[in-house]
Order: sequence, then C-alpha cells, then structure tokens
Amino acid sequence: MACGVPPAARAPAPDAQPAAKAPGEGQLSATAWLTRASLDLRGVRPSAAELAAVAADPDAAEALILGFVDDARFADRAAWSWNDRLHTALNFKSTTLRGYQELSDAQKEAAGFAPLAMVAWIVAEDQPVTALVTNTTLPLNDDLAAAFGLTAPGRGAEWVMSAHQDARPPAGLLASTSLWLVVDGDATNHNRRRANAVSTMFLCDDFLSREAAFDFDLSVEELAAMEEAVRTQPACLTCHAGLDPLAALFGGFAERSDQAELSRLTVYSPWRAEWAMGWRAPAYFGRPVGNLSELGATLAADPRFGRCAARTLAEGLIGEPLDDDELSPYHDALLNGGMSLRAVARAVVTSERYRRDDERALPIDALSSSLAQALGLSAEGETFLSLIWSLEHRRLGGGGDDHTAPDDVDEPGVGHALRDAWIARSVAELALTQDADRAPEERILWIAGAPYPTEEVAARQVLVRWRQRLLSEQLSQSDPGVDQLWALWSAAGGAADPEAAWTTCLEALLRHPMGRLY
Amino acid sequence: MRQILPLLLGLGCGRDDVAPPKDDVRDDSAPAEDCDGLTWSNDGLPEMLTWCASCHSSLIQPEDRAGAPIGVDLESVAGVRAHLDRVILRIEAGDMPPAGGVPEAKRARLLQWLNCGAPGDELVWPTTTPAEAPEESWDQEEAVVAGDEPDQVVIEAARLGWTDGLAFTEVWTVTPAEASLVSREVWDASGVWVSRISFEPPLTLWRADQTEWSIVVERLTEDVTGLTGAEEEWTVSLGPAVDVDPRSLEANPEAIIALSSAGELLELHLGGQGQLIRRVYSGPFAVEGEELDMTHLGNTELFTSAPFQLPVDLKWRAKVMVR
Repeated sequence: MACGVPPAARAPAPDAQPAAKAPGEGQLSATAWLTRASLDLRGVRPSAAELAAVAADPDAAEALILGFVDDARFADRAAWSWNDRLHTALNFKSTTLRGYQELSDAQKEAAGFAPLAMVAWIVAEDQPVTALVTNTTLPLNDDLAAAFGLTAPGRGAEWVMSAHQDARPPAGLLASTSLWLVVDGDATNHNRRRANAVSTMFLCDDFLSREAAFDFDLSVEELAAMEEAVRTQPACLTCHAGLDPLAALFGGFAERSDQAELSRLTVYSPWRAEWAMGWRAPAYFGRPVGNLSELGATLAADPRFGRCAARTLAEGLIGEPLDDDELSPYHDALLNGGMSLRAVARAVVTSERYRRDDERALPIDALSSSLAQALGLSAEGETFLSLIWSLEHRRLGGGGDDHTAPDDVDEPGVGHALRDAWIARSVAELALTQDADRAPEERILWIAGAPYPTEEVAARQVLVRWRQRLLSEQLSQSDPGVDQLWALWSAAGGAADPEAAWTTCLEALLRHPMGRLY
Repeated sequence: MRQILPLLLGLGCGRDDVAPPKDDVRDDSAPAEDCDGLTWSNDGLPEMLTWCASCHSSLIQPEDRAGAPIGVDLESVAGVRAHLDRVILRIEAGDMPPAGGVPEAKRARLLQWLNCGAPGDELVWPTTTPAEAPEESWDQEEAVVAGDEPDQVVIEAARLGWTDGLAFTEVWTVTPAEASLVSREVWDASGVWVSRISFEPPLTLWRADQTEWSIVVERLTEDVTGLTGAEEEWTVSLGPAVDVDPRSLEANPEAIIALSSAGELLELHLGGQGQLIRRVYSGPFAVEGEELDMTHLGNTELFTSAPFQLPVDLKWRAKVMVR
C-alpha cells in the first residue's frame, strides 16, 4: 500500500525529539513521566515496584514506558481516545429517537462502542490502521447483535470480528451500522452529513470549519435554491465539489427517523445505495469510486488518512491539538512503522513534547480503570461503569455526551469536585471492607497485619501505601503529606472509631485534586 | 517573487475561459534547501486533493468538473507539473479555489512545494470501477391486474429494487371519464406489512383537457401494470387532503412522482404522521413520455408541518395505459 513517503530530510519539531534521559527544564521527572505514560497507555498507575525502579534509576523509565505500548490494556485506551474523533460511544444513550428506546443500556453501550472496538482490535492485533476503512469484518458482540437483529457470536460481551450479515460492501467502519446511525442522513441533504463525517473522522478535515462554510439554517425557499447553487456557485463549489460526490456513496444506510423502529434503521439496502449514486456520480476528490469498498481502499491510500490517524492518536496522548510541524515526526513514525498505531504511540510517549511539565486532566475511562485497580475493585463494577457510561457523571466531570455536546471540557471545575465527592462516598467504605475480607497476603490497601490498624507506625505505613496507589507518590512515613492524613485520621475518630477514621482518610485521598491530574 | 497580475486564467471550477500559459512564474530565488524532502505525497497531493482535484480531474466526467477546463487536471503530479506556472499564478492571485478558504499555512506550504518544481513521485492508487447510473427495476411478471367490479382495477405489483422489493397493492376506480387512486397498501420483501394510505377523496386522473400540464405516473405505465391497450392522456388533480395511516412509512417514504410539461419532476414523500416530509423537483427535465431519470433530481424542499395537505390547484396530464 502506497501511503506516502516520509520526508527523509525533514527535521523533527524540537519538542518531538526523543526525551532526554534526565528531565530538562519544564520536563516531568522520570517518575511523573512513568505515571503519565502508564495512565495513558495502560489506564492504571505504575506499580510500586515500577516507581521504585525508576526512582532508583531514571534511565529505566523509557524501557518501561515502551513496554507499556505492548500492554493489552493499550487497546482499550486507544479506542477511547478515538472517541474524540468518532463521537459514537455515548450517542445511543444521549439521543431520544424512538427506535433507540427499545434498547437496553448494555445494548446502547455496545452500539456506541462498536466503532471503538474496531480501533481496539487494530491496536491489539497491531494491524495497519488502514484496516479502519478496509477490513472485511467488523466487531460484534451479543449485545450488539441483539440490538441490531443479527446472529450473535455467542460470547457475551466479548467482541468478535464478524463478517457482515447483509449485502453491504466490506469497508471497515465505512460499513458500520453504528457509525451511520450516529451520523444519520436524510434525503434532503443527500447524505452530505455522512460525507462530511468521513472527511472529519478519517481525514481530520471538517468541511464546516472551512472559511467558506456558512449557516445551514435556511428557509424552505433558500433551501430549494441551494441545490442549484451548490452545483454552480463558486462559493459553494469549494466544498460541494468534493462533498457531494462522496455523499453519493452512503444512500444504502437508513435515513434519520423519529418514528421508525430500530429494525428499519439498521438494514443496508444495496438498491437504495445504487439509487443514491444516480444523484451524483460518486467520487473521492476527483477519483471515481463504485462502492464503499473502493472508497475504503482509496481512502487508505490517501496520505491525508495516515496523517489524520497519527494526529488522532498523538493528540489523544498529548491532550492538545498539534500543528503540522509538531505532528510530522509522529506521522513519520506511522509510515515507517508499517501504519502501526503502536509505532505512533512509541514516538509520542518518548518525545519531549509528551514529557512537557503541564497538568492534564485524567480522561474518565482512565480515571475509572486506575481507581478500580488502585482500590482492588472491579473496573466492571457498578460504580465504575457509572463513571464511564453515565451521562450525568460524565457531564459532572466536564465530559461530552457524543451528541449535543460532544467534546470534553478538560478544565477542572465545580462539577469535577462534585463527581469526585460522589466517587469517594461510593467506594471508600466498600473498598476497605472488601480488602479486609481478603486473605492477608492478597490485601491491596491493608498491609500485613490486621485491617484498620490503630497503632501509629502501622497506620503511617498504610497511609504511605495509599498515597502511592492513588497518587503515585513515594513518601516516607514522616513526610508532611502523611502527617496531614494522620492528623485527619485522629480527628475523624482515631482509635475510638477506626473504621470511620480510615474511611474518612480514604475519602479524602479519593477527592485529592492531584488524583485527577497527571 | 515576480509580480503577479490578477489574470483571469482558465483554471478552476466555474471558469471556461482558458488563457494561454504565461511565462515561468516560479520563484527561482527559493533556496534549494527549502526544497529538500518535499514530496508529492506529503506536500502537494494532500492540498491538491482537498482544494483542486474534485473538479480538476481527468478521471471524472466533463459534466462533473463544474466548469474546470478540460485538460487542466491536477489529480496527478504530472498534471500539476504540466500546468505548474498557471497553478502558481491562480493560487497566488487568490482566486483558486474559487471561494478561497485555504488556511494561510497550508497555502504557503503548497506554494513552497510548487515553487520547488512540484517534486516527488506519483502515488499508486487502488484500481476502482466507477459506478454506473442505476436503472429502475420493475418485475412485470409479478404484476397482477384484477378487479371484482367493472369499474374497479386492483393493481398488485412488486416494484423490485425499490427499497429492496417493496410490494404494493393499489386500488383504482376507472370509468370512461376518469381514473382514481383510492388506496395503496405496501409490504416489504419478506411479506411484512408496511403501510396503508387511503386517498380521500381519491387521487383522480381524468382525460386531458388540452392544458399545458402533463404528467407521467410511472406506476400506471405498461412496464408496471402489464396493461395493454391504447395510450391515452389524462390529467391528474391531487386531492385536497390525504388520509394517511399513522403507522405508515417513515423509513420507506411513499413517493408520488409526476412530471410537468414545464419539465419539472415532482416527487412527494409522505411521512409517518401523515405529514409531507419532502418534495423534490428538478429544473428543466425531459419531454413528455421520456423515461424518468432520477439522476436529474435537483431542487429540494423540506416540509415538517402536519397535517399533510397536498396542493389543491395542481393539475397534471398523464399518459396512462388503459384497456
């Protein structure tokens, strides 16, 4: 596959240079870098042993971080990162169309996550990212099958790559029912919305962000005249000459409906697809294409596709938009790495740009999984699922709903504090009692000896452990941060009511702002 | 940089006036090192695809070029090099693409690549097969025409290909003076009932009165009904109101297709609550009797108001086949 040649002589942007072993000015320490990379790539904080190893030898950080890229958990993290581009995950819970009311929560979540499961599969199997638009199978699980009336693979919630069960052309996500339910169309706009979604999602080029874009809130009369204008007026042609021939490829997917049952919206109609191609000769920016499969192959060959894929992952890891120069080394890594997203991840997390000492808000899926791991609770438990899939909890934390307000707001605010208070109240007591019930050698929060210790030395040992597990700190027992918690422990009941005292301490740590920044 | 005149060169969407190529306008003073590493794939093609090739492509039909001059094709690096000076002129003058909109950083990068002589190798694209315009498919074998009464015709036809084999039954009343569509009931290909629409009063066709209006009601042509007989002209009046079953088609809207003598194609779609959800019509279309060509669909209006009221003053002339 010809996907563009990286310019050999192009100098990488200064920040994209590999990070120096020792932190420079404005760079994270080796342990903070390790923590950031662990949360980004694995969704959990580094272990005590990993932190200790890097504290003892900062040069050990890079090898550990590169190993995180090959961790199985990176697949899910990359998938959630892609939701900032696709905005499908929460959509089925956010919209109120009649057809969606028939679905259970699990089915809505499966429908929303299905396109992201494709990303997860690509990362897990280290497939070329072009599979996003060329693969002949799509992820399916039993919940999604039940939602869309398909034959279930019979493996519960596990995603299985499955062939299409109707006549749609295989084309990776371009053939995804979920995607084209989220980005719906109607005959009035001739699927232009879907065409723009292709450009936005896979080329990082939103037609509506172009300077020539204008308000589409038009009267009926203006709308009637518009169809003529988009074919003839130069101001319109700048976008529509590319958009409309692309739109002609998506007629096989159902139109938007406030009335129809879901079963009528999930079917693909080859005839309608063909009929829509009669509206405009389908083409991809001047290259005729005959169906979705050809579109996928052409899209994958477009240099803009690889650049967009690299941008999506790199910006997801770095947490900020990148200009073209900043992106180039990560794009080069993709091209030189056989279109592997893992190659991009390696280039990003070892760059100076990534190691810049700026505070980032922890994405909600990483917050959920890291807390679950730190506390020894199941990430699939009700509390943490609420964090990921509950619109209310997401909104409290500034999260988008993938519908009316798709984008996350990363700036910490009052909502974050409320959400964190809810987390602390919900899980502190539960985590402590569950851990106390474990065999001593299996305990996570309590160290050897009886749970809920009241003797100061043992208590301080516990507090040191908690700060490590929840904040990735390595403190001595006499550190002021431990002193503060010890004072809180005493004030909250102390030896007279150790259960209340320890629960209060854990709640306080769970509400610590530094637990949300990394 | 050499002075660039705002020349109206014939490069781009909407312009047919092709001026001859001008002298070399490349920036020969560009330092050679600024050209190091620049390629078609990374520096030229992305912007050419985004801003130019949708019209300037040798691969698409002339009618899809939106006025871009034939021969000025920019989908390949060879094509760009063939028109290099002209491309630089038009981009620098700011009149290509026609409405502007290229971010300054991208424009500068593109001009840098162009001024370096458009370096780089062609990209190998996958082979594709352009789609052919579809033809409507009608299954004459499935059409059944019957009637229990002399003046009533029941048409059962499977309109194969339309929404995957939507089948319908229509009840018409036919007299020497007029023909009226009373109701239509639709099933999908698996035999599941989809909708029923009653026309009250019936949608009536009557004999032509030599007005300027004309219509083709496609369902009543010989292709669909299997009817044979003399061709007669009818005029249709779309009734003042339509009673639509609320369970009817949202996902598969019903369409009434008509063609006026002024060359307008009218396609009326009924929505789930009986509202008219869209009306599609084209500009100058075809002469009476020509086969409908859906590729000419043009202007669109969107209606969302309920209840549905068809215009009462429309009169159309139809060619129908009657026994």
